[in-house]
Amino acid sequence: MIAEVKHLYMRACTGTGVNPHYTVILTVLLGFAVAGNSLFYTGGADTLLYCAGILNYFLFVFFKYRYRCSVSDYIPSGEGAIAIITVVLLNILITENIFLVFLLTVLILSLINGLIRIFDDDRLFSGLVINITLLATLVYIAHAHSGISHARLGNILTGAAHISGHALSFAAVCFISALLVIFVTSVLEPELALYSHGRSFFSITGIPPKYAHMTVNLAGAALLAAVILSTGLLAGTGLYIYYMLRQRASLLEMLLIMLLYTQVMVMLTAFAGPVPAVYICVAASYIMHTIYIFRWSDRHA
Amino acid sequence: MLEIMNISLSRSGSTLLRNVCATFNDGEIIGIAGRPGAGKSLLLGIIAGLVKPGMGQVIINGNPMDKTAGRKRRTLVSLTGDAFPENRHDRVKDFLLLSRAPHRRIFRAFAENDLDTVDMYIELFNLSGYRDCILGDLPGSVLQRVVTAFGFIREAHLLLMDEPQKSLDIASVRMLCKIMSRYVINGKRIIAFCSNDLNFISQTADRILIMHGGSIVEDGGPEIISTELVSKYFNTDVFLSRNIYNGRPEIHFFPEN
Repeated sequence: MIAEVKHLYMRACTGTGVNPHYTVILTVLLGFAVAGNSLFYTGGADTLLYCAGILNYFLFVFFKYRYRCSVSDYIPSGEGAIAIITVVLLNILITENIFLVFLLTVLILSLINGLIRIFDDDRLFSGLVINITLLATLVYIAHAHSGISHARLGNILTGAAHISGHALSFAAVCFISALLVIFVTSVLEPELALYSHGRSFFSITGIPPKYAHMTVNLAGAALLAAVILSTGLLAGTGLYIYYMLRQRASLLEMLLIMLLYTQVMVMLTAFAGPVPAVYICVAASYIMHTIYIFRWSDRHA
Repeated sequence: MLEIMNISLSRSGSTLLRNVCATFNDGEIIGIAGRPGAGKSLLLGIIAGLVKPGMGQVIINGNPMDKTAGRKRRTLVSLTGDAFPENRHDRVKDFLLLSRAPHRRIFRAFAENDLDTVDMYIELFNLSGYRDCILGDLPGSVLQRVVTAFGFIREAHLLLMDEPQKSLDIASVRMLCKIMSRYVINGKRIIAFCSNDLNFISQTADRILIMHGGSIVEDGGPEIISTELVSKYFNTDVFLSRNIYNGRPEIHFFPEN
């Protein structure tokens, strides 16, 4: 029986670019991490939500790489900070309803990305300024009597949907949003790819560029909003993993690495609390970004 | 057949194109020459539908270009400019396949014919060794060849090229000349290109248009190239010889001393 399963598995991996040994090791490690987190800390619904969030994150990374040619993940680019500030302000000023927060965050992020295109370059400065602004905003809100507790702020940094009471429903929203983006990108793949090559190449599609800008901004914003509300700032290294491993690892292996990374960070959140875990994630993202810029970007500039 | 009817364009008070009229016949290779600012690239942009003229219109096979739907127009006209692809992560073969996008029907994958066309031009442009390379890793001259191939792959009725020989080594220029001749050989397609290299134009084009101050001032076969013409419109003294194989004029400079 085991031999048969092994034979079937090896045959399924043949020709797909998937390394059967690494995939098994990653899957076993991920299984242990998910089981540990589910049993001792997060519970089943939250685990599912983290997985849905990472699926969105994986698509977000792919989207940034393929269509926006960006070399900054959502932490160094400042997109994550903008999204967190948006969620915090929506929580204080408008509503705590997670679905409404999701919709408004998508709208605000796509507007910001449409108006000021500062997220898709490798300049650390603009992202750093936004991240410092986030820190200052959070410190101010934490010390002001804003009606939002320290614990809630910490939870927003690691995914506001977990404390919304609708973790399972929001996981479904994340899956639906991911499927929608997959559908749109697969239907319009050549057009979006031409968009990534610049205006003169996109002109051959005969589509006005503003529609392409809108589609890319909206899809990117939907993916990022789902990521921020389900996993917060507990990711942020996926784009660099993608750049560094794309010649050697399959998409499945990279997805498993991203899932494993987040599960380890969730475990860290359980032991050390959300804020130290977020500090570590931000530091890891900046370290990966720096390594990428100095060791890899010159090869593909 | 393409008809350019009384095209004029003014911007900020200065006239960039003035009553430009011309007819491009099927099977022709048309070279457009002129000093910088004469309006060559602008004319190509107007023909391609990327720039709106102030007056006049472009008619392709009896249909006004501005009345032709965007996607249909892209299957009729292809413009290769001087822009390079910005996304350097794409593989050469994937990038070239995108040129067939106007032929692809929505919700459908690229057809077998699209893939075969890409393969054919990869062979013709001698890019087989770079087929799976990513664009960011290509040397400049190879990238130029890829961009030029991108224009051909659409197999549009009218192929427009802006400085196609720029950045190409001598072997690639020779290859490009052959591919251009092959493109129009069935007598159903047209190539129009502009260049600052008069020798390239005289050796390649069946018909030459000289532009000056936004107008077409000379129109004829390669034999119109003369020392007087070069002196008049390019303000340079040269002498001519004839290519011993095709009899076309070749331009040479006088030695300094």
